[in-house]
Amino acid sequence: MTPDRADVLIVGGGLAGSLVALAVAARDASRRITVVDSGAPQEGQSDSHTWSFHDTDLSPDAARWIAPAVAHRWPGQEVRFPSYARRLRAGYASLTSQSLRAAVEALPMVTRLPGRATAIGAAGAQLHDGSRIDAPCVIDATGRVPRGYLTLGWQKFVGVERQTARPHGRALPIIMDATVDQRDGYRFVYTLPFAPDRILIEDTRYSDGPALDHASFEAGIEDYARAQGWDGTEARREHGVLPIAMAFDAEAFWADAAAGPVPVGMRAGLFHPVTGYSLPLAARAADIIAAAMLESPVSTASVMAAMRRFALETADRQRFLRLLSRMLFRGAAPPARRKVLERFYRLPEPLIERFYAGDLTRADQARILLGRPPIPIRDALPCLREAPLLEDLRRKRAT
Amino acid sequence: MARIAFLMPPYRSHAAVHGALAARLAGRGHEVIFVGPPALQPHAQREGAGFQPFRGPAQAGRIGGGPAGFARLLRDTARATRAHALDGPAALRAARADIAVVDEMEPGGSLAADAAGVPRVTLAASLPLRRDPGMPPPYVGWDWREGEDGVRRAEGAWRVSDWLMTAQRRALAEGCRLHGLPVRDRPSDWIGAEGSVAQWIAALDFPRPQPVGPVVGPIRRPVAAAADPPLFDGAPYVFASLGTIAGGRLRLFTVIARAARLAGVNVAVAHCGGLSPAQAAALTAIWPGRIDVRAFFDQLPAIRGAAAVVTHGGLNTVLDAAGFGVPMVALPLGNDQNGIAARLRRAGAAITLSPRRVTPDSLAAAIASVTTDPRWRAALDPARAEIAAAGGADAAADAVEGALR
Repeated sequence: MTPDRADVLIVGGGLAGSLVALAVAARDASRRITVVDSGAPQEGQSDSHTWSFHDTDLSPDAARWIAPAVAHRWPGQEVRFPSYARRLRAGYASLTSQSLRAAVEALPMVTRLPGRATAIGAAGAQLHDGSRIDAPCVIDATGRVPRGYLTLGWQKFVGVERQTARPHGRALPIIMDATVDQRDGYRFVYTLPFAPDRILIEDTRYSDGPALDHASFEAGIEDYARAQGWDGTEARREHGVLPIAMAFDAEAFWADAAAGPVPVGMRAGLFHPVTGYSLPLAARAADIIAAAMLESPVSTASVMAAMRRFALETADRQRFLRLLSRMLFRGAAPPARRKVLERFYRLPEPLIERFYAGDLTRADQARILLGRPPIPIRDALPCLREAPLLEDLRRKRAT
Repeated sequence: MARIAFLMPPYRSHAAVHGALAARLAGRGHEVIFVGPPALQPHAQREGAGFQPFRGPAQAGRIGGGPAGFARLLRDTARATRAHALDGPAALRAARADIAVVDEMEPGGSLAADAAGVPRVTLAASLPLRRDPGMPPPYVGWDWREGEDGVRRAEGAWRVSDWLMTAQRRALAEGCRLHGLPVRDRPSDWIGAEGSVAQWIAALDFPRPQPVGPVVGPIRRPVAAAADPPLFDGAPYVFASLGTIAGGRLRLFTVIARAARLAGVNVAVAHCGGLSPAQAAALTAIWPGRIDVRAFFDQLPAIRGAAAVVTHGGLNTVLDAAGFGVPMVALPLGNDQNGIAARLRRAGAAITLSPRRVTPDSLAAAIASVTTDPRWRAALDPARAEIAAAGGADAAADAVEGALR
């Protein structure tokens, strides 16, 4: 099969693009897919990556087609705060750059094409070597966040996968260990025990700016490892700057995107506004695209219509999550952010699961805000409305 | 051969007991590892054991300092227990421990062992925590009271104690929920299935319906064969020590030195590093040539050779003196020393004085009494006999090995 005769052209071989390939292939194995993968890190990404999800984040369908890409699974996870720790019952799983690539390469009708697109349109893409690929349906999964339409805070992390000289003893992921010193906003350490003598240690910070001071993160990781006697060597490293959304002008974004390729993933602002995690929404978007391709002749326009509907609904559902982000970044002073999170994790488990899946009910929302408010009302009031931030964004786009 | 983990509060008095047991087990071919937060590391090093760290306090909770100090100690205790509950299980797995020896005073260690699925033996280095009828909490200095009245009084005291320990109980409950264990939030809930290996002997205890577990007496390292020359060239002397925690009480040491001069008996003062060289010199100057002030003596020979021991009533010093039949004057300062003093009074085994009210005169009278009246030494005969038969470190090592099978 030659790549220039594809039914679907996916530009970007990261998480969002790869999941589209997996979902489409799972629904219709005859579909010819070309994935243009630059292999080089995009803005805010690194070569090597780990993406994780809670079992409760995915539909049963998505859980099935994502399974070949899963590298590690755990039966639960923990969170830790200075005065509260708990185990969460939802299973947890991780994909790695390698496991994801291997799963995509195993699909018979998918071609991975190393290369970088210099221009992407609704009918095809221009590659850096001058060649052009045309396809009836073009997906833009290049990962660049449309900053002009979003007001952002940042979740920055550096992760070191360590080969420990002796077993580290950890059995479950700790998705938030906030018992560490607070620096640079809200700080926690995230650990994934991949094997008895292998553990990923990520120093993570919720900061106002996206600058990543590697030395400070490395020191944080080293302190954490040394305190537990995890001597060893670095096997792999990753870093990233994930966006946290405080405001999103989704209407304007999709209006401006209408004539181009179908944006997915980070490119479409499809991420969890509070955690920056993109996998659950990327999986759902992939399902939407796969379903749309079954209903009508495959075209950029038909997939665009389905995606646009899904994305606008999502943005609407995420209103409350963006409010939480505003409260976290604009309402709480950096040292108070930890308290907000600690309070959140004391809530009932089903609510926490719905939070990660982006499915909070109205009752959940009330529960999060009422009772003892996470931040003083006086500080919360100015954060309540998204409109002033949207107005700012519009002004900036106009100039 | 097994890998044996030791978990305890990071105090020298506890670490010395675990260290002696660890040395005995190492001598039988086992591998011994202290497991704890950074505060335990220097103790592991001194005791010659391996060390497996986990995240937690870098310093031991400080004892003393009035009500504010007490509140701080309760908070520090809870913090250490929480560190054990959260990160202890992974550390025990990392240490590949086949069994854990856990001090009764760090229930978080037992929680960690249960969470990690590591069998454990509890060790009562201090007064046993088991709540037998009428038994007040260890740090209560009440004399024994028979009957219903005594039982009710003890229950009341435990209620207050449980309330004071709320922060630690919370940490234990949280740890249980985190690791899916049934919630047990009182330190006494974590006593091992076979009871605790206990240093404190029945002859000096308040009455209990049955032993708290294998009572082994003092767990010590063997005394070096080449001992130092006798103190004061073999002339009679009193050995005085206020323990490792209260080593800095200059006022009390001064009272002890003056009392010795009044009683006309040499005195060897161990300040455990709590006095500055200048303070130690000032103490010596009270009665030059008759007062020997050092940070540490080779304690067992020093006690064995003494005519009497003036002590804060720490459990280790008291058991060592009792084992040699050396009469005591106890000045209980805190912790379980009040409870120990009450037990010594009941056994008629020591004179106890309040450290706040003691004067050179009253202490000199007490020293004169215990050194001249043979009944004080005779009163220790049952204790001496029990200790001689109890087996010490060897019996403790047997109990640990027994739990391995």
